[in-house]
Amino acid sequence: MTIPDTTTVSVENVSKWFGQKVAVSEVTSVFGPGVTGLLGPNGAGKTTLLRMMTGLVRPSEGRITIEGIDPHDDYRALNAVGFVAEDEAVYKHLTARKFVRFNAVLAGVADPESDTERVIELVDLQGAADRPVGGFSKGMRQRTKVAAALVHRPRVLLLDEPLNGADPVQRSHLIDLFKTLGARGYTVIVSSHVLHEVERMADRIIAITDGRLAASGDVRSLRALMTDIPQTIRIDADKPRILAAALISTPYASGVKLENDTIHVEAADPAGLARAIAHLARQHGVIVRRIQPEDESLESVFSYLVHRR
Amino acid sequence: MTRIVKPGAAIFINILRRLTQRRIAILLVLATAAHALLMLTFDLTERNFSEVTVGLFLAVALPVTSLITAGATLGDERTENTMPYLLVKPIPRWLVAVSSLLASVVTVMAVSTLGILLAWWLGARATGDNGTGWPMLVATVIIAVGYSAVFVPIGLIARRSTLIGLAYILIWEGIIARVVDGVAASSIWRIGLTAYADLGGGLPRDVDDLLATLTPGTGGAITKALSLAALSIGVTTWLLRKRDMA
Repeated sequence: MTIPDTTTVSVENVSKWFGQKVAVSEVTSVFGPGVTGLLGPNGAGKTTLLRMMTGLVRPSEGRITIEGIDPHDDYRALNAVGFVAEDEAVYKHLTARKFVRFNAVLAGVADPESDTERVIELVDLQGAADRPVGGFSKGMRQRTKVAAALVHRPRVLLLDEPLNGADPVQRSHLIDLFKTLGARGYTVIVSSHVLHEVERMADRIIAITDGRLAASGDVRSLRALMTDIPQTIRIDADKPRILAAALISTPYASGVKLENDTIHVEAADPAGLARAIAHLARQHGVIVRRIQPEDESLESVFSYLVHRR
Repeated sequence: MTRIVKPGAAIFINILRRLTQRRIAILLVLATAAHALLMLTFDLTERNFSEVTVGLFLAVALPVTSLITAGATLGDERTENTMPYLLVKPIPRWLVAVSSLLASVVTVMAVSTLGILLAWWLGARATGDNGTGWPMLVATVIIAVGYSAVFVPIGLIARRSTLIGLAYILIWEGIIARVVDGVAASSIWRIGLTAYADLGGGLPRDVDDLLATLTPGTGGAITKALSLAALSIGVTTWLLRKRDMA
Protein backbone atom coordinates (compact mmCIF):
# COMPACT_ATOMS: atom_id res chain seq x y z
CA MET A 1 0.00 0.00 0.00
CA THR A 2 1.35 3.44 -0.91
CA ILE A 3 0.98 5.77 2.01
CA PRO A 4 0.47 9.43 1.11
CA ASP A 5 2.81 11.99 2.72
CA THR A 6 0.00 13.49 4.74
CA THR A 7 -0.89 10.17 6.37
CA THR A 8 -0.82 10.26 10.16
CA VAL A 9 -2.69 7.06 10.94
CA SER A 10 -2.22 3.96 8.85
CA VAL A 11 -4.34 0.83 9.20
CA GLU A 12 -3.00 -2.05 7.15
CA ASN A 13 -5.07 -5.19 6.71
CA VAL A 14 -6.07 -5.18 10.37
CA SER A 15 -8.21 -7.88 11.95
CA LYS A 16 -9.12 -8.44 15.55
CA TRP A 17 -10.93 -11.33 17.10
CA PHE A 18 -11.84 -12.04 20.70
CA GLY A 19 -12.08 -15.81 20.99
CA GLN A 20 -14.53 -16.91 18.30
CA LYS A 21 -15.93 -13.41 17.75
CA VAL A 22 -14.47 -11.40 14.90
CA ALA A 23 -14.66 -7.73 15.87
CA VAL A 24 -12.69 -6.24 12.96
CA SER A 25 -11.94 -8.00 9.72
CA GLU A 26 -9.24 -7.06 7.20
CA VAL A 27 -9.65 -3.30 7.42
CA THR A 28 -7.21 -1.18 5.46
CA SER A 29 -7.32 2.59 5.41
CA VAL A 30 -5.19 5.67 5.91
CA PHE A 31 -6.08 8.87 7.71
CA GLY A 32 -4.67 12.34 7.44
CA PRO A 33 -5.48 15.91 8.44
CA GLY A 34 -9.17 16.75 8.51
CA VAL A 35 -12.19 15.11 10.08
CA THR A 36 -12.94 11.50 9.19
CA GLY A 37 -16.21 10.00 10.35
CA LEU A 38 -16.15 6.36 11.35
CA LEU A 39 -19.75 5.43 10.77
CA GLY A 40 -21.45 2.19 11.64
CA PRO A 41 -24.22 0.64 13.71
CA ASN A 42 -23.60 -0.37 17.32
CA GLY A 43 -21.36 -3.42 17.48
CA ALA A 44 -19.89 -2.78 14.03
CA GLY A 45 -16.31 -2.72 15.28
CA LYS A 46 -15.71 1.04 15.47
CA THR A 47 -14.66 1.02 19.12
CA THR A 48 -12.30 -1.91 18.64
CA LEU A 49 -10.71 -0.18 15.64
CA LEU A 50 -10.23 3.06 17.59
CA ARG A 51 -8.83 1.18 20.59
CA MET A 52 -6.35 -0.55 18.31
CA MET A 53 -5.27 2.90 17.10
CA THR A 54 -4.59 3.90 20.73
CA GLY A 55 -2.58 0.75 21.47
CA LEU A 56 -5.08 -0.41 24.11
CA VAL A 57 -5.91 -3.41 21.96
CA ARG A 58 -3.40 -5.33 19.87
CA PRO A 59 -4.48 -6.33 16.34
CA SER A 60 -4.72 -10.09 15.84
CA GLU A 61 -3.44 -9.51 12.33
CA GLY A 62 -2.17 -6.51 10.40
CA ARG A 63 -0.51 -3.32 11.57
CA ILE A 64 -1.53 0.10 12.80
CA THR A 65 0.86 3.03 12.99
CA ILE A 66 0.56 6.57 14.27
CA GLU A 67 3.04 8.81 12.45
CA GLY A 68 4.91 5.65 11.52
CA ILE A 69 5.11 4.18 15.03
CA ASP A 70 3.15 1.21 16.35
CA PRO A 71 1.26 2.59 19.39
CA HIS A 72 1.04 -0.83 21.03
CA ASP A 73 4.78 -1.44 20.96
CA ASP A 74 6.12 2.06 21.50
CA TYR A 75 4.42 4.43 23.92
CA ARG A 76 6.13 7.42 22.28
CA ALA A 77 3.57 7.16 19.47
CA LEU A 78 1.02 8.35 22.02
CA ASN A 79 2.66 11.79 22.17
CA ALA A 80 0.59 12.52 19.09
CA VAL A 81 -2.68 10.97 20.29
CA GLY A 82 -5.66 12.35 22.17
CA PHE A 83 -8.40 9.84 22.91
CA VAL A 84 -12.00 10.16 24.08
CA ALA A 85 -13.45 6.77 25.02
CA GLU A 86 -17.09 5.92 24.43
CA ASP A 87 -18.03 5.19 28.03
CA GLU A 88 -18.66 7.83 30.65
CA ALA A 89 -15.70 6.76 32.74
CA VAL A 90 -13.93 9.56 34.58
CA TYR A 91 -12.20 9.88 37.92
CA LYS A 92 -15.28 10.90 39.83
CA HIS A 93 -13.37 12.18 42.85
CA LEU A 94 -11.54 14.81 40.79
CA THR A 95 -12.85 18.21 39.78
CA ALA A 96 -12.92 18.90 36.04
CA ARG A 97 -9.86 21.15 36.39
CA LYS A 98 -7.89 18.53 38.33
CA PHE A 99 -8.98 15.82 35.92
CA VAL A 100 -7.73 17.76 32.91
CA ARG A 101 -4.54 18.74 34.74
CA PHE A 102 -3.92 15.08 35.64
CA ASN A 103 -4.10 14.22 31.93
CA ALA A 104 -1.80 17.14 31.11
CA VAL A 105 0.86 15.97 33.57
CA LEU A 106 0.71 12.38 32.27
CA ALA A 107 1.06 13.66 28.71
CA GLY A 108 4.20 15.56 29.67
CA VAL A 109 2.82 19.06 29.07
CA ALA A 110 5.41 21.71 30.01
CA ASP A 111 2.94 24.08 31.62
CA PRO A 112 -0.04 21.99 32.77
CA GLU A 113 -1.82 24.91 34.47
CA SER A 114 -2.05 27.19 31.45
CA ASP A 115 -2.88 24.37 29.04
CA THR A 116 -5.58 23.16 31.41
CA GLU A 117 -7.17 26.62 31.43
CA ARG A 118 -6.89 26.82 27.65
CA VAL A 119 -8.85 23.61 27.00
CA ILE A 120 -11.39 24.22 29.75
CA GLU A 121 -12.21 27.45 28.00
CA LEU A 122 -12.21 25.68 24.63
CA VAL A 123 -14.98 23.30 25.74
CA ASP A 124 -16.77 26.04 27.66
CA LEU A 125 -16.46 24.48 31.12
CA GLN A 126 -15.12 27.47 33.05
CA GLY A 127 -18.20 27.73 35.27
CA ALA A 128 -18.07 24.10 36.35
CA ALA A 129 -14.32 23.50 36.39
CA ASP A 130 -14.06 23.26 40.17
CA ARG A 131 -16.93 20.82 40.62
CA PRO A 132 -16.30 17.08 40.95
CA VAL A 133 -16.72 15.31 37.62
CA GLY A 134 -18.76 12.60 39.38
CA GLY A 135 -21.66 15.05 39.69
CA PHE A 136 -21.61 16.10 36.03
CA SER A 137 -24.27 15.33 33.46
CA LYS A 138 -23.28 12.97 30.64
CA GLY A 139 -22.78 15.88 28.26
CA MET A 140 -20.54 17.76 30.68
CA ARG A 141 -18.49 14.64 31.25
CA GLN A 142 -18.04 14.32 27.51
CA ARG A 143 -16.78 17.90 27.31
CA THR A 144 -14.41 17.25 30.21
CA LYS A 145 -13.09 14.17 28.42
CA VAL A 146 -12.65 16.15 25.20
CA ALA A 147 -10.72 18.82 27.13
CA ALA A 148 -8.51 16.13 28.68
CA ALA A 149 -7.84 14.64 25.25
CA LEU A 150 -6.88 18.03 23.79
CA VAL A 151 -4.72 19.32 26.62
CA HIS A 152 -1.38 18.21 25.15
CA ARG A 153 -2.20 19.50 21.64
CA PRO A 154 -2.28 16.06 20.02
CA ARG A 155 -1.93 15.87 16.24
CA VAL A 156 -4.27 12.88 16.11
CA LEU A 157 -7.59 13.01 17.91
CA LEU A 158 -9.52 9.75 18.27
CA LEU A 159 -13.09 10.31 19.42
CA ASP A 160 -15.41 7.40 20.17
CA GLU A 161 -19.02 8.63 20.07
CA PRO A 162 -18.02 11.99 21.59
CA LEU A 163 -21.48 13.52 21.19
CA ASN A 164 -23.25 10.89 23.31
CA GLY A 165 -25.32 12.56 25.99
CA ALA A 166 -24.57 16.09 24.85
CA ASP A 167 -27.56 18.42 24.48
CA PRO A 168 -28.15 20.13 21.10
CA VAL A 169 -26.21 23.28 22.04
CA GLN A 170 -23.27 21.25 23.35
CA ARG A 171 -23.39 19.05 20.25
CA SER A 172 -23.25 22.02 18.00
CA HIS A 173 -20.37 23.49 19.99
CA LEU A 174 -18.40 20.21 19.90
CA ILE A 175 -19.07 19.70 16.19
CA ASP A 176 -17.77 23.21 15.47
CA LEU A 177 -14.71 22.49 17.62
CA PHE A 178 -13.91 19.24 15.78
CA LYS A 179 -14.39 20.93 12.41
CA THR A 180 -12.06 23.77 13.44
CA LEU A 181 -9.42 21.29 14.61
CA GLY A 182 -9.71 19.39 11.35
CA ALA A 183 -9.35 22.62 9.38
CA ARG A 184 -6.23 23.48 11.40
CA GLY A 185 -4.56 20.27 10.26
CA TYR A 186 -5.39 17.89 13.10
CA THR A 187 -6.27 14.34 12.16
CA VAL A 188 -9.66 13.92 13.78
CA ILE A 189 -11.29 10.49 13.63
CA VAL A 190 -14.81 10.52 15.05
CA SER A 191 -16.94 7.43 15.43
CA SER A 192 -20.70 7.65 15.47
CA HIS A 193 -23.75 5.60 14.63
CA VAL A 194 -25.71 8.72 13.71
CA LEU A 195 -25.34 9.52 10.02
CA HIS A 196 -26.44 13.14 10.11
CA GLU A 197 -24.03 13.94 12.94
CA VAL A 198 -21.10 12.56 11.00
CA GLU A 199 -22.30 14.37 7.91
CA ARG A 200 -22.15 17.69 9.76
CA MET A 201 -18.52 17.41 10.78
CA ALA A 202 -16.68 14.94 8.55
CA ASP A 203 -14.99 15.62 5.24
CA ARG A 204 -14.69 11.90 4.69
CA ILE A 205 -16.67 8.93 5.92
CA ILE A 206 -15.60 5.36 6.50
CA ALA A 207 -18.57 3.07 6.91
CA ILE A 208 -18.06 -0.09 8.95
CA THR A 209 -20.42 -2.94 9.56
CA ASP A 210 -19.83 -6.41 10.99
CA GLY A 211 -16.19 -5.42 11.45
CA ARG A 212 -15.65 -4.84 7.73
CA LEU A 213 -15.13 -1.73 5.70
CA ALA A 214 -18.45 -1.25 3.91
CA ALA A 215 -17.77 2.00 2.10
CA SER A 216 -15.32 4.84 2.14
CA GLY A 217 -15.32 8.25 0.56
CA ASP A 218 -16.50 11.78 0.94
CA VAL A 219 -19.94 12.52 2.25
CA ARG A 220 -21.36 13.18 -1.21
CA SER A 221 -20.27 9.86 -2.69
CA LEU A 222 -21.62 7.92 0.29
CA ARG A 223 -24.91 9.80 0.05
CA ALA A 224 -25.08 8.86 -3.63
CA LEU A 225 -24.69 5.22 -2.69
CA MET A 226 -27.47 5.51 -0.18
CA THR A 227 -29.93 7.14 -2.56
CA ASP A 228 -29.80 3.93 -4.59
CA ILE A 229 -31.34 2.03 -1.72
CA PRO A 230 -34.88 0.92 -2.58
CA GLN A 231 -37.20 1.92 0.23
CA THR A 232 -39.85 -0.42 1.50
CA ILE A 233 -43.05 1.09 2.79
CA ARG A 234 -45.62 -0.65 4.92
CA ILE A 235 -49.28 0.27 4.50
CA ASP A 236 -52.21 -0.75 6.71
CA ALA A 237 -55.62 -0.20 5.09
CA ASP A 238 -59.18 -1.49 5.41
CA LYS A 239 -59.18 -2.95 1.84
CA PRO A 240 -55.54 -4.00 1.36
CA ARG A 241 -56.09 -6.23 -1.69
CA ILE A 242 -57.77 -3.46 -3.69
CA LEU A 243 -55.09 -0.91 -2.81
CA ALA A 244 -52.27 -3.41 -3.52
CA ALA A 245 -53.70 -4.18 -6.96
CA ALA A 246 -54.00 -0.47 -7.72
CA LEU A 247 -50.45 0.28 -6.54
CA ILE A 248 -48.85 -2.45 -8.64
CA SER A 249 -50.05 -0.75 -11.80
CA THR A 250 -48.29 2.54 -10.95
CA PRO A 251 -44.70 3.34 -12.05
CA TYR A 252 -43.83 4.41 -8.46
CA ALA A 253 -43.81 0.89 -7.01
CA SER A 254 -41.23 -1.64 -8.16
CA GLY A 255 -42.76 -4.45 -6.11
CA VAL A 256 -45.85 -5.06 -3.97
CA LYS A 257 -46.33 -7.82 -1.41
CA LEU A 258 -49.38 -8.60 0.74
CA GLU A 259 -48.73 -10.24 4.08
CA ASN A 260 -51.39 -10.67 6.79
CA ASP A 261 -53.44 -7.83 5.29
CA THR A 262 -50.43 -5.51 5.36
CA ILE A 263 -49.06 -4.14 2.11
CA HIS A 264 -45.27 -3.95 1.69
CA VAL A 265 -44.38 -1.74 -1.26
CA GLU A 266 -40.89 -1.41 -2.66
CA ALA A 267 -40.81 2.20 -3.76
CA ALA A 268 -39.04 3.14 -6.97
CA ASP A 269 -39.97 6.77 -6.33
CA PRO A 270 -40.95 7.32 -2.71
CA ALA A 271 -42.30 10.83 -3.20
CA GLY A 272 -44.40 9.81 -6.22
CA LEU A 273 -45.62 6.74 -4.34
CA ALA A 274 -46.80 8.88 -1.41
CA ARG A 275 -48.89 10.98 -3.77
CA ALA A 276 -50.19 7.89 -5.58
CA ILE A 277 -51.32 6.20 -2.36
CA ALA A 278 -53.48 9.18 -1.43
CA HIS A 279 -54.93 9.42 -4.93
CA LEU A 280 -55.63 5.66 -5.29
CA ALA A 281 -57.13 5.38 -1.80
CA ARG A 282 -59.57 8.17 -2.58
CA GLN A 283 -60.35 6.70 -6.02
CA HIS A 284 -61.09 3.18 -4.64
CA GLY A 285 -62.71 4.24 -1.37
CA VAL A 286 -59.96 2.73 0.76
CA ILE A 287 -59.25 4.00 4.27
CA VAL A 288 -55.49 4.07 4.91
CA ARG A 289 -54.73 3.60 8.59
CA ARG A 290 -50.94 3.76 8.58
CA ILE A 291 -48.04 4.38 6.21
CA GLN A 292 -44.61 3.57 7.60
CA PRO A 293 -41.16 3.29 6.02
CA GLU A 294 -39.51 0.01 6.96
CA ASP A 295 -35.91 0.57 5.98
CA GLU A 296 -34.75 3.79 7.57
CA SER A 297 -32.50 2.35 10.24
CA LEU A 298 -28.78 2.80 9.86
CA GLU A 299 -28.43 -0.98 10.12
CA SER A 300 -30.47 -1.43 6.96
CA VAL A 301 -28.41 1.20 5.15
CA PHE A 302 -25.25 -0.63 6.13
CA SER A 303 -26.69 -4.00 5.32
CA TYR A 304 -27.42 -2.64 1.86
CA LEU A 305 -23.92 -1.23 1.46
CA VAL A 306 -22.36 -4.53 2.50
CA HIS A 307 -24.51 -6.68 0.26
CA ARG A 308 -23.90 -4.53 -2.79
CA ARG A 309 -20.07 -4.80 -2.42
CA MET B 1 13.72 12.58 34.59
CA THR B 2 10.81 15.03 34.93
CA ARG B 3 8.98 13.03 32.23
CA ILE B 4 9.05 10.09 34.67
CA VAL B 5 8.79 11.64 38.15
CA LYS B 6 5.86 13.99 37.53
CA PRO B 7 3.57 11.50 35.78
CA GLY B 8 4.58 8.78 38.28
CA ALA B 9 3.72 11.05 41.20
CA ALA B 10 0.43 12.05 39.56
CA ILE B 11 -0.60 8.40 39.08
CA PHE B 12 0.47 7.55 42.63
CA ILE B 13 -1.51 10.43 44.16
CA ASN B 14 -4.57 9.76 42.02
CA ILE B 15 -4.70 6.06 42.94
CA LEU B 16 -4.02 6.88 46.60
CA ARG B 17 -6.93 9.34 46.65
CA ARG B 18 -9.25 6.89 44.95
CA LEU B 19 -8.36 4.02 47.28
CA THR B 20 -8.60 6.07 50.47
CA GLN B 21 -11.85 7.76 49.47
CA ARG B 22 -13.73 4.49 48.99
CA ARG B 23 -16.39 3.69 51.61
CA ILE B 24 -14.66 0.41 52.38
CA ALA B 25 -11.59 2.35 53.57
CA ILE B 26 -13.41 3.15 56.83
CA LEU B 27 -14.16 -0.54 57.38
CA LEU B 28 -10.52 -1.36 56.72
CA VAL B 29 -9.41 1.26 59.27
CA LEU B 30 -11.72 -0.37 61.83
CA ALA B 31 -10.56 -3.88 60.88
CA THR B 32 -6.89 -2.97 61.32
CA ALA B 33 -7.68 -1.22 64.58
CA ALA B 34 -9.70 -4.14 65.97
CA HIS B 35 -6.71 -5.68 67.74
CA ALA B 36 -5.92 -2.37 69.46
CA LEU B 37 -9.57 -1.93 70.49
CA LEU B 38 -9.51 -5.47 71.90
CA MET B 39 -6.43 -4.59 73.93
CA LEU B 40 -8.51 -1.95 75.68
CA THR B 41 -10.75 -4.65 77.14
CA PHE B 42 -8.19 -6.55 79.25
CA ASP B 43 -5.08 -6.07 81.35
CA LEU B 44 -2.34 -5.78 78.79
CA THR B 45 1.00 -7.52 79.30
CA GLU B 46 3.95 -7.85 76.92
CA ARG B 47 2.90 -11.41 76.18
CA ASN B 48 -0.77 -10.87 75.38
CA PHE B 49 0.14 -7.68 73.45
CA SER B 50 2.24 -9.85 71.18
CA GLU B 51 -0.40 -12.60 70.97
CA VAL B 52 -3.14 -10.21 69.88
CA THR B 53 -0.85 -8.33 67.49
CA VAL B 54 0.24 -11.55 65.80
CA GLY B 55 -3.01 -13.55 65.92
CA LEU B 56 -5.43 -10.82 65.00
CA PHE B 57 -3.52 -8.03 63.26
CA LEU B 58 -0.57 -9.54 61.38
CA ALA B 59 -2.17 -12.90 60.49
CA VAL B 60 -5.75 -11.81 59.71
CA ALA B 61 -6.69 -8.11 59.53
CA LEU B 62 -3.58 -6.87 57.72
CA PRO B 63 -3.51 -9.59 55.01
CA VAL B 64 -7.23 -9.10 54.28
CA THR B 65 -6.84 -5.29 54.20
CA SER B 66 -3.81 -5.58 51.95
CA LEU B 67 -5.38 -7.92 49.42
CA ILE B 68 -8.61 -5.88 49.20
CA THR B 69 -6.61 -2.69 48.65
CA ALA B 70 -4.09 -4.19 46.25
CA GLY B 71 -6.76 -5.95 44.18
CA ALA B 72 -8.61 -2.65 43.71
CA THR B 73 -5.50 -0.65 42.78
CA LEU B 74 -5.54 -1.44 39.06
CA GLY B 75 -8.66 -3.63 39.23
CA ASP B 76 -10.85 -0.55 39.74
CA GLU B 77 -9.13 1.23 36.85
CA ARG B 78 -10.08 -1.71 34.65
CA THR B 79 -13.65 -2.25 35.88
CA GLU B 80 -14.42 1.49 35.91
CA ASN B 81 -12.95 1.89 32.40
CA THR B 82 -10.47 4.58 33.44
CA MET B 83 -7.46 2.60 32.23
CA PRO B 84 -7.20 4.63 28.96
CA TYR B 85 -6.32 7.73 31.01
CA LEU B 86 -3.19 5.91 32.18
CA LEU B 87 -2.32 3.87 29.13
CA VAL B 88 -3.08 6.19 26.21
CA LYS B 89 -0.28 8.44 27.38
CA PRO B 90 3.37 8.74 26.31
CA ILE B 91 4.69 7.11 29.47
CA PRO B 92 6.26 3.68 29.94
CA ARG B 93 4.00 0.98 31.34
CA TRP B 94 6.46 0.13 34.10
CA LEU B 95 5.81 3.59 35.53
CA VAL B 96 2.13 2.70 35.92
CA ALA B 97 3.15 -0.58 37.59
CA VAL B 98 5.57 1.07 40.04
CA SER B 99 3.18 3.90 40.92
CA SER B 100 0.33 1.45 41.48
CA LEU B 101 2.37 -0.80 43.74
CA LEU B 102 3.57 2.17 45.81
CA ALA B 103 0.03 3.54 46.05
CA SER B 104 -1.25 0.18 47.27
CA VAL B 105 1.46 -0.12 49.96
CA VAL B 106 1.00 3.45 51.16
CA THR B 107 -2.79 3.02 51.28
CA VAL B 108 -2.45 -0.13 53.40
CA MET B 109 -0.09 1.74 55.72
CA ALA B 110 -2.45 4.71 55.87
CA VAL B 111 -5.54 2.69 56.80
CA SER B 112 -3.48 0.71 59.35
CA THR B 113 -2.03 3.80 61.03
CA LEU B 114 -4.77 4.17 63.62
CA GLY B 115 -4.48 0.52 64.70
CA ILE B 116 -0.69 0.61 64.80
CA LEU B 117 -0.45 3.85 66.78
CA LEU B 118 -3.19 2.86 69.20
CA ALA B 119 -1.65 -0.55 69.85
CA TRP B 120 1.80 1.01 70.13
CA TRP B 121 0.57 3.47 72.75
CA LEU B 122 -1.30 0.79 74.69
CA GLY B 123 1.71 -1.55 74.56
CA ALA B 124 4.06 1.20 75.76
CA ARG B 125 1.70 2.12 78.59
CA ALA B 126 1.28 -1.49 79.74
CA THR B 127 4.90 -2.55 79.53
CA GLY B 128 6.74 0.69 80.05
CA ASP B 129 8.72 -0.02 76.85
CA ASN B 130 8.25 2.56 74.10
CA GLY B 131 9.77 0.24 71.53
CA THR B 132 7.01 -2.41 71.50
CA GLY B 133 5.54 -1.00 68.31
CA TRP B 134 8.65 -1.14 66.12
CA PRO B 135 8.46 -4.86 65.28
CA MET B 136 4.77 -4.40 64.46
CA LEU B 137 5.53 -1.46 62.16
CA VAL B 138 8.33 -3.26 60.29
CA ALA B 139 6.21 -6.41 59.90
CA THR B 140 3.30 -4.29 58.65
CA VAL B 141 5.44 -2.73 55.91
CA ILE B 142 6.76 -6.15 54.83
CA ILE B 143 3.28 -7.67 54.75
CA ALA B 144 1.81 -4.67 52.90
CA VAL B 145 4.56 -4.86 50.28
CA GLY B 146 4.20 -8.65 49.92
CA TYR B 147 0.43 -8.75 49.44
CA SER B 148 0.44 -5.66 47.24
CA ALA B 149 3.09 -7.29 45.05
CA VAL B 150 0.89 -10.35 44.56
CA PHE B 151 -2.54 -8.77 44.33
CA VAL B 152 -1.93 -5.65 42.23
CA PRO B 153 -1.33 -7.80 39.09
CA ILE B 154 -4.07 -10.28 40.09
CA GLY B 155 -6.52 -7.38 40.39
CA LEU B 156 -5.58 -6.34 36.88
CA ILE B 157 -6.57 -9.66 35.34
CA ALA B 158 -9.20 -11.13 37.69
CA ARG B 159 -12.58 -9.66 38.43
CA ARG B 160 -12.83 -11.47 41.78
CA SER B 161 -9.40 -10.77 43.17
CA THR B 162 -10.74 -10.41 46.73
CA LEU B 163 -12.31 -13.87 46.63
CA ILE B 164 -9.12 -15.32 45.16
CA GLY B 165 -7.15 -13.59 47.91
CA LEU B 166 -9.41 -14.83 50.69
CA ALA B 167 -9.16 -18.36 49.36
CA TYR B 168 -5.39 -17.98 49.20
CA ILE B 169 -5.20 -16.75 52.81
CA LEU B 170 -7.64 -19.31 54.20
CA ILE B 171 -6.66 -22.39 52.25
CA TRP B 172 -3.06 -21.90 51.20
CA GLU B 173 -1.67 -19.83 54.06
CA GLY B 174 -4.13 -20.97 56.75
CA ILE B 175 -4.29 -24.72 56.19
CA ILE B 176 -1.75 -26.00 53.66
CA ALA B 177 1.15 -23.89 54.93
CA ARG B 178 0.58 -25.26 58.43
CA VAL B 179 0.61 -28.93 57.50
CA VAL B 180 2.91 -29.18 54.49
CA ASP B 181 6.61 -28.66 55.11
CA GLY B 182 8.16 -25.86 53.07
CA VAL B 183 4.89 -24.19 52.05
CA ALA B 184 5.11 -21.76 54.99
CA ALA B 185 7.95 -20.02 53.19
CA SER B 186 5.41 -18.84 50.57
CA SER B 187 3.06 -17.42 53.18
CA ILE B 188 3.35 -13.64 53.01
CA TRP B 189 2.15 -12.77 56.51
CA ARG B 190 4.53 -15.41 57.91
CA ILE B 191 7.39 -13.66 56.11
CA GLY B 192 6.38 -10.50 57.99
CA LEU B 193 6.08 -12.54 61.16
CA THR B 194 9.71 -13.68 60.90
CA ALA B 195 10.75 -10.02 61.08
CA TYR B 196 8.35 -9.38 63.97
CA ALA B 197 9.74 -12.37 65.88
CA ASP B 198 13.32 -11.34 65.15
CA LEU B 199 12.89 -7.73 66.25
CA GLY B 200 10.64 -8.59 69.19
CA GLY B 201 12.84 -11.34 70.62
CA GLY B 202 10.67 -14.29 69.61
CA LEU B 203 6.96 -15.09 69.74
CA PRO B 204 4.85 -15.97 72.79
CA ARG B 205 4.29 -19.72 73.25
CA ASP B 206 0.59 -19.57 72.28
CA VAL B 207 1.34 -18.29 68.80
CA ASP B 208 4.87 -19.49 68.11
CA ASP B 209 3.59 -22.42 66.03
CA LEU B 210 2.34 -19.89 63.46
CA LEU B 211 5.87 -19.54 62.12
CA ALA B 212 5.77 -23.25 61.18
CA THR B 213 9.18 -24.13 59.74
CA LEU B 214 10.33 -20.53 59.31
CA THR B 215 13.05 -19.01 61.45
CA PRO B 216 13.00 -15.41 62.68
CA GLY B 217 14.99 -12.95 60.58
CA THR B 218 14.48 -9.37 59.46
CA GLY B 219 16.97 -9.14 56.59
CA GLY B 220 15.58 -12.24 54.88
CA ALA B 221 12.02 -10.98 55.24
CA ILE B 222 12.89 -7.60 53.74
CA THR B 223 14.77 -9.28 50.87
CA LYS B 224 11.79 -11.55 50.13
CA ALA B 225 9.36 -8.61 50.17
CA LEU B 226 11.56 -6.55 47.85
CA SER B 227 12.02 -9.52 45.51
CA LEU B 228 8.25 -9.97 45.36
CA ALA B 229 7.88 -6.26 44.62
CA ALA B 230 10.40 -6.41 41.77
CA LEU B 231 8.71 -9.51 40.33
CA SER B 232 5.33 -7.82 40.65
CA ILE B 233 6.49 -4.74 38.74
CA GLY B 234 7.80 -6.99 35.97
CA VAL B 235 4.58 -9.03 35.77
CA THR B 236 2.29 -5.97 35.93
CA THR B 237 4.31 -4.20 33.22
CA TRP B 238 4.12 -7.28 31.03
CA LEU B 239 0.35 -7.55 31.56
CA LEU B 240 -0.18 -3.86 30.77
CA ARG B 241 1.80 -4.27 27.55
CA LYS B 242 0.44 -7.58 26.36
CA ARG B 243 -3.17 -7.76 27.46
CA ASP B 244 -5.97 -6.07 25.56
CA MET B 245 -7.62 -3.28 27.52
CA ALA B 246 -10.85 -3.56 25.57
